[in-house]
Amino acid sequence: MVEPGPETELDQAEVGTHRVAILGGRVPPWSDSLLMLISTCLAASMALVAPTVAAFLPLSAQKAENAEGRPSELVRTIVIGKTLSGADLEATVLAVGEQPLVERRGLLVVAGIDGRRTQDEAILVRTLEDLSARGDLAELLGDHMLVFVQHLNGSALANGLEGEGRQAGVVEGNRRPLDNDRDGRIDEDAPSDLDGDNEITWMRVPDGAGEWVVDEHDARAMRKARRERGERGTHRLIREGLDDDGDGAWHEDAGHGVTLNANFPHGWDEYPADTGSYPLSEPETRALVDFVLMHPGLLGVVVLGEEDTLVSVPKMPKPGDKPDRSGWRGGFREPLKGLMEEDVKSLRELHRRLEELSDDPHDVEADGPVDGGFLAWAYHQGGRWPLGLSAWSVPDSLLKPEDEEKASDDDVVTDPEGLEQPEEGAEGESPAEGQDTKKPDDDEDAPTSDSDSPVPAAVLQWLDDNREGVGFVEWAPYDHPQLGDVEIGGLTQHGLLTAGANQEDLDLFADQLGDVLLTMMDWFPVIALEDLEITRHGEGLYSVEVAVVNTGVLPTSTQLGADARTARPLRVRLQLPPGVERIFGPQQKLVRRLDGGGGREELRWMVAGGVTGTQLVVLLDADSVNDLELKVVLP
Amino acid sequence: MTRINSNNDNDVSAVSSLVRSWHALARKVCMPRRLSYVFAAALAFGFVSASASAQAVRTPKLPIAWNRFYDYDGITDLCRQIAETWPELCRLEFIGESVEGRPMPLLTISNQETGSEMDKSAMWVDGNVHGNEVQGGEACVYLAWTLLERYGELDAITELVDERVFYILPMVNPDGRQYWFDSPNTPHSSRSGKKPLDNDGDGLMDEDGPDDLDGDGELLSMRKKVAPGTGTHRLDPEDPRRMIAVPADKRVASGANYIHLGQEGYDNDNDGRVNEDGPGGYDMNRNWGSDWMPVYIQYGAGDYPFSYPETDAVGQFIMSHPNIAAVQSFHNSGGMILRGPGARVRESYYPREDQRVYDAIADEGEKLLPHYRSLIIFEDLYDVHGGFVNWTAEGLGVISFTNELWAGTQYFGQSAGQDDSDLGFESQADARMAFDDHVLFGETHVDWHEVDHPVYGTVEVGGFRKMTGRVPPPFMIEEMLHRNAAFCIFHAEQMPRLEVVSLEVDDAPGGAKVITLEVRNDRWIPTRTSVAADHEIGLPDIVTLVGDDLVVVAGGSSADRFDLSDFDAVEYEPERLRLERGIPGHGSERLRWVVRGSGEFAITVDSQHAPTLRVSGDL
Repeated sequence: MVEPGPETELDQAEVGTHRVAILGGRVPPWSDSLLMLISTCLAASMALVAPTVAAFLPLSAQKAENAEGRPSELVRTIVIGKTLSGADLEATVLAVGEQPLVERRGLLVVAGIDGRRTQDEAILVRTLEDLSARGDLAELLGDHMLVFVQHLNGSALANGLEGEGRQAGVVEGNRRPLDNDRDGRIDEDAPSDLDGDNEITWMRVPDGAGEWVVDEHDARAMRKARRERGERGTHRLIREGLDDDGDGAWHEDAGHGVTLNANFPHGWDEYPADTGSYPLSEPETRALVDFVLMHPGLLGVVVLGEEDTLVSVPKMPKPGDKPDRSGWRGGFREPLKGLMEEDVKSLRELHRRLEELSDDPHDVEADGPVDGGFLAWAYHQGGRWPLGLSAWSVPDSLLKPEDEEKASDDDVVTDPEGLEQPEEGAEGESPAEGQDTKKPDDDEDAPTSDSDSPVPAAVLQWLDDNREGVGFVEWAPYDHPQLGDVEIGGLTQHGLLTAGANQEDLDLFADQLGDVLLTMMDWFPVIALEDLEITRHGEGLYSVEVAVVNTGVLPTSTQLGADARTARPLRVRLQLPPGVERIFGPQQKLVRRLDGGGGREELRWMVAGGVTGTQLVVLLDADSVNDLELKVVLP
Repeated sequence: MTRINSNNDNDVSAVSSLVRSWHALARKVCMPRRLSYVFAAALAFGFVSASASAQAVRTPKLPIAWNRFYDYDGITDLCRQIAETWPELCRLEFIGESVEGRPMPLLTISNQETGSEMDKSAMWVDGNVHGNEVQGGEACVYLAWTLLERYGELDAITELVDERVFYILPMVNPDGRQYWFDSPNTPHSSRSGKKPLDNDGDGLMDEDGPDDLDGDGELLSMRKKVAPGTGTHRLDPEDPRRMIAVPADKRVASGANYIHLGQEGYDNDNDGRVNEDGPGGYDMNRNWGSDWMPVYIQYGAGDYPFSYPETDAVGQFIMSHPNIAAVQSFHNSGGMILRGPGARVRESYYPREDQRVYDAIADEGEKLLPHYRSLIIFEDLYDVHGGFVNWTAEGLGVISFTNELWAGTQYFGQSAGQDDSDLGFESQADARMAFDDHVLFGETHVDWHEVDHPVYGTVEVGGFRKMTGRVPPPFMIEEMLHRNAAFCIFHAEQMPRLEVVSLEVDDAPGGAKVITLEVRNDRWIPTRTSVAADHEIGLPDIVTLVGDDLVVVAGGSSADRFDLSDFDAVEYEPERLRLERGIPGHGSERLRWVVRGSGEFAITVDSQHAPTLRVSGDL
C-alpha cells in the first residue's frame, strides 16, 4: 500500500500530452566513470569501512542539515509503504517540476534488499547527495525521474543498529519472527557472542568424528579432511553460540526473518520458511512491486546487491531455454528460463558502450537474476530492464571449489555470500555434505580455496595481503557450557560483506554511479514520427503514411516485455475531424516493440471527406517513450 | 428450539443399524456395492416412511426460501439472520472488503462451550469466487442453516457443531455477484471482480464490454442474416431458434445464411474489436499462492498472488487459522467433485497416501451427489495455475475439493451413462429448449428479434437468459443445496479425531518404567497430510510427557507392541516427540518412553489439525 506523501497531489494533477525534452548540454563523463565503476567492481580494496548510523538514515533526515545551497525543487521524499517493523519505507525522488511521477520515465534504484549489504546503501546515499547538489539536471529531470529506495530492508538494519540485534549482527532478512525448525518456538536458537568481543565468529570443537582438519598451510584455517585418502577429521566447526533450545541442532532458528530477495514472485521457492509464506508476503517487497506497477514509466530497475547484469552480462539462452509458446492462444506455457536472446543482446550493448569508454576490457558471463529476487521479477513479470550492479568483490579463486581454482588473485567473484558456508549451523548440516564432487587438489602446496570452509586459507591470505587481516579473529580457548573446551575465532559474521571497500573507493563508486544512471536515461528510447507522406487520390480522397521511429539506444521495451505483454505497447491513432472518414488503415495500432537505433513501424491510412487545409492528427502515447502529436494538413 | 421426539431419534438409529446389517449381508452374498446401496436406500425409505410425517410438520426456527437466488444484500442479510438466530453457536464477522467496498460476511459455526475454537479441527467453506457462479453463495448459507437448524435434533450434526468449527464465506467475490444480478449478463459473464483492468493494452480500462443493444435487460447472442452460402451457420429446420454450424466445405451447398456474431455488443472504443475489454477481466481463482503464474501464462492471474483485496482477505484469514483441516469451495457448473493438481507438473504434491483420502471422500460424494463425477482438475478439465484449492492443498497441506454445482443431465434426470439422445433429444441444445418450453414454459429463452447495430446493420438478438444453463431452475435449487451440504458434512466428519487406544506402564530393568501410549485417528483425514510432511508445511504433531517427579530417559515412536525395547528412540528432547508425518487416517501411532521416578504424569498430543488429546497416568 502506498502511503500518501508529498507526491500525492502531483500524482493527481491533470494528465496531459507532453513531449520529452531533447537532452543537451550534458556530456556524461564516461571515460572516468565507467573505468572506475568496473575497476571498483573488479577489485575492492583495502581499508575496511565500518558503516555509521548517520550514513544509513533516510536522506530526508539528512536534508535538514545539508539543504543549504541545494536546489530544493530537485529532491522530494515520498513514502511508498511500511517496513515490517512499522517504519515508513521512504523513497527519494529526483525530479523537477510539476509533472506527476506516474507520467515520467526514469529509473528505480534500490539498495539494502539484503540487510547485510550496508555499503550499498551508503553508496546510494552518497550518489543522491552528489546528484541533488548538481545544478545541470533541471532539463533532464523536467520529465524524467530517478527514484532511490536506499534502505529497503529497514527492519534488519533497525535491529542491527540497536542493542541486542547489534550483537547478533546485521542479517540478510527482515527479522520477521519465524519458526524455522517448526518446533513451535519462535527464533529461539540464534548465534551469540560468547566471548564478549562483539563479534560472532566460529567455534572449532575437537572431535574425532568431525570432518574438518587444521589447514597445513595456515594454522588459522580449516579444510575438510580428505577421507578418500584415509585422512580423518579432527574438529567440528560450529558458529559461535549455544544450542539454546537443546534440540541438538545449532542456530537453526536464528531470527533472520524472511530473505527479501527470495520473496518476489518469479521463481519463488514455496516451502523454505525464509522465502516467506507466499510471494510478496513482506510489506517491503509488496510495496516495492506496487510502486513499480503504479509507475509504468520506470523503464529499468537498478539494484545494488549481489546480482550483476551490467558488468557481468547474463548468459545467452541455450537452445532448450527458448520459451514454450504452446500455451493458451499461443502464449507462454511456462516461465522463461534465463533472459531472451534479444534482451541479452541489449544488455551486452549497454555493457559494450560502458566498456568502450574504459581502458579495461572486461567480459564476464553471469547467471543473471536469481529466482525469487527483485531483478528477476522486474524482468520476467514487471516488463522492465533488470540492471544489477554488484559493488563488492573478492578474488573468485578464493571461493571456487578446488577443481575450478585459479591462481589469479585479480579475478572477480559475484557471490561473496559463499564465504558464509556453512551458514549458521553445525558441520554435518551443510547441504554439501555427502555431495562433494570436488576432485583432489592437484597442487597441495597452494592454499586451498575450499568454498565449503568457513575459514579457508586462501581467504585469510587475501585478507592479510589486502586488508591487513581485518575480518579475522584469532582462535582463543573457551570453556563452552555444552561442548567443553573449544576455540573461538575465525572469520567474523558477514565480515567481508559488510566491510567492503575503502572510503575512497566508496566515494568514487558513488560519484560515478550518478553519471551511469544519468547516461542510462540518456539511452532511453526516443520516438519520432518521420517520413510523413500525404497523397491526394482525387477529390476528397487522401492517403497518409508515416513511420514511427525509435531514435534512442534502447528498444521501446524488453523482448520479453513485448512478447509476454508485460510492457505496454506504443499506441498510435489517427484523429479525424468531423466529416472525414477512415477508408482503411488501423483505428488504433499497438506497436509492441521497436529496436533502438532506428527501429521503425510504418503506418498507412486512407481517408475520405477532407479538403485542402483539413487537419488530421496522428497521436502516439506510451509509457516507455515520449508522447507525440503530429498535425497533418491535407494539401 | 424444536426437537424431534425420541421415537425419531430411535428411528434414525434403527435405520442406520438396519442399513449396516443389509450391507454386511450384501457383502456375504457378493452383491455389487452399488446395487447394495440401491437396495439399502429402498429399505431405509420403507422404514422411515412412517416417521416422514414428523419431517413434514417440522417448522424451521428460521424459515428461508431455498427456491430462489439472493443478491449480495440478500445473502448478507441471511447471514445476519442466522447469526442473530443462533448467537450461541454462530458468529458473523466481515473479513475484508471487495474492490467496490462491499464487506465480506463470514459465518463461524461452533459450540463455544465445548472448547476453544482454535483447538478444534476446522473446515473452510466458500463460494462464488466467480461472479456468475452464484449458487455457491446459497450452498454456503444452506450449509450454515442446516448445521444450526438441525443442531440438537440430529446426532451427526450436533456432534459436528460441538466438536468442529466451520468457517463459511458465501461470497468470495461480492462485486461480481452483485454485478451478475444487477446488470445484463449471460450465464457465463462475468467471472471477474470489479477492479478496472486494461485487458487489451490500449491504456484504457474496461472501455469495451458487452452491450445490451435493445435495452431489454438481457445480454444475449447476435446473429446476422446474409446471402445464402456466405454464412457460417444455418437455422435448424426443426426449430429455427437454434442455429447449426456448417463446415466450410458445405456452406455453399447448404445455403448457410447466418453468421454468429457472439455476445451482444459493439466496438465501444472504436479500435476494430468488439467486447474485448469488459468489466474487470480477471479471474480471482488464479490469484492464490501455490503454482501462481503471471498473466502471460495464466489468464486472469493478477499482478501477483493475493493481489486483490478479496483474495488477500481470504488468504490472511486462512493462514491465521492453522486449525483448518478441510476445505470445500463451491463453483458452477458441470456436476464435478474436483481436486488438484491444476497442472501436471504438480502431480507429486498429491502423494499416494493423500490420494487415498481424496478418493475415499470423493467416492462417497459420487453417491451423495447423483450426476456428479470425481475428477482431477488438470487431467479431466484444464490447466489451472494459482487456483484456490491448489493453494490450500499444496501450499497448506489441507484436503481440498471444489464442487461444480449443477449438471446439465439433471434437467431431465438421465441415469448414469445416458445422454440426451437416450431420452429422444437430438442434441443437448434440443433438450435445453424442450426443458424451457415444457417445464419452464419459455421463461429462460428470448426469441430472436431484430436490432439495429451501429456497425453490422440489422442483426438478430436472442438466446438463453443468464438464469439458466449454469444454475438450476428454482424448483431444483434446494435438492442441489442439500446434497452438497451433505457432502460437506461428510467431508467435515473425516477431519482427524484422536482417541487413546491404550496407555500402559511397565517395569523395565534397573528400576526404570516404560510408558507406552497408542493413539488412534478414527477418521479418513490424517493429522498431517503427506504433502505437508514431505514439504514441512506447518508444525509436526508434538507429543509431550511431563510429570513432577519423573525424568524422561528416552522416548520415541513406532513402538513394537510386545517388545518393550523396540522403538525409534530420539537423541534429543525425548520428553517432546515430533511426529513429522502425524497420525494417518484410520491408523494409529504407538509411542514409548523410558522414565525414572514416580507419581502422576501427563501426556499431550498437540496437532494443528486435530483437537489436543490429553491423557494422564500414574507410575
